Formats: sequence, C-alpha cells, structure tokens
Amino acid sequence: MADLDPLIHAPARLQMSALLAAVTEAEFATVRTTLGVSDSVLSKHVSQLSEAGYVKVRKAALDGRQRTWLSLTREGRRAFAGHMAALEALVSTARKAAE
Amino acid sequence: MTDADAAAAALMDARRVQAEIVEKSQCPPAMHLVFGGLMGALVAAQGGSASVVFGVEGVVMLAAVILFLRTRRRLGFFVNGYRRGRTRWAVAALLLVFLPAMALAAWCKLERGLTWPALALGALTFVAGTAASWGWRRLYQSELAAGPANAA
Repeated sequence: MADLDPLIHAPARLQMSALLAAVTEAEFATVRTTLGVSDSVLSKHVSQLSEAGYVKVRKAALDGRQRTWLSLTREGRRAFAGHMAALEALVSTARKAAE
Repeated sequence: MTDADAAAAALMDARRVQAEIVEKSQCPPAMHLVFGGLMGALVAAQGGSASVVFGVEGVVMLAAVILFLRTRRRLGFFVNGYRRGRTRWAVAALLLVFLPAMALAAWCKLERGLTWPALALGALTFVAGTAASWGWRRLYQSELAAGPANAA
C-alpha cells in the first residue's frame, strides 16, 4: 500500500498537486485563483514542492508580461498518485470496518 | 474527525479542483470541427502541387500555434494532447487513420497522377480528426471523474 506523503498532505499543496496533475502546466495566477489563496501563500507552497523536486517552475512571457508557469515533475506525479491511493485505501478500509 | 474522515475530505478537495479544471476546459463543438479540418487539409493537400502541399502545411502549422496560444491565454493552463492515460487511445486511433491516409494520398498523386483520392481521404481524415478530438475530450473528462489518482 502506498504511504501518505507529508509534503503533499497540506490542503493547499494537495489541491495544487490535484490541479497540476490534471494539466500539463498552469499559470501561477490560475492556480492562485482556483485555490483561493494569496500570492505569498502560494509562493511558499510552490517553493516547498519545488525544493522536493515535485513541481517545476518556468518563467515565460505572455502578452508582453513575464508569467510563471507551474507543472508537476514525473516524481511529483508519482508522489501525488501514491498519496491519492493511500487516501483512497484509508477511506475504503474505514468503510469496510463500518460494514 | 477520524483519519478516514480527513482522508475523505482531502479526496473531495482534490476532486473539486479537478472538476473545476474540467469545467473551465470546456470548448465549443466547433473546435473539434476546426481540428478535424486542419488534419483533413493536410491529407487533401497531397493531391496538389508541391507549392500547395507546402502552403497548406504552413497554414496548418500557423493555425495550430495560434490555437495553442489563444487557448493557453484564455484558460491559464494547457493540457498536452499526448499526455499519458486513456486519451492516448484517441491519439493512436487518429494516427492509424491519418498516417496511412497521408501516405496513400501522396502515393496516388506521385505514382498515378490522381487528385481525387487525396480529396476523398482528406474528407475521411476530417471525420476521423473531428471524432478523435471529441473522443479525446470525453476520455479526459472520464479519467478525471474516475478519481484524482487517475489524472497523474
């Protein structure tokens, strides 16, 4: 059974990972709006996941302005899938025990 | 709150975020027709002269880049068509039609001097491209709906 990943476990980082797992890359502002957090809070979570090698940060110009694009690395995708599997196993075990 | 409750809440959060992405990434049905049209044009162009082939290829490439940039700007995210997962079945099915159609259309023109097979194969590829684009979208939606772990 996969283990819970403490780096992904925090709600904001879990939601960011879920968003990035569904796309190839997403703009920082889109992630911030979807998660409903401030720039500084998101930056902090991005740094943590980036330092762990889970998130790749890319700067690129769009409409003449510098934008930040985020994507999950292969390791990040693997960690997210493992974390989701662990959560699902936890829920499923509890359901079986309740039956 | 038990560990299982917290786990269920976390799964719900992840599902909600991915459902939002699916909702945002909805595209008008005309976009599937445009994609099919671009694929069909590449095949149909094989029936023309070299300048027609290169001209159409240039226009299709330019249109693809414009579509990519516009979509990315509008959505604030991008989903690669060749991403891992069940969507690759739609890509594989399209390539199974597109590549032989291109080769056959070019062969008919170069070896037999026939133009009509390229047009017919172009029409077939248009239908296949439109269907593959629509199918890709359905598979993407169903993959995310099946659970966040499937998206990774």
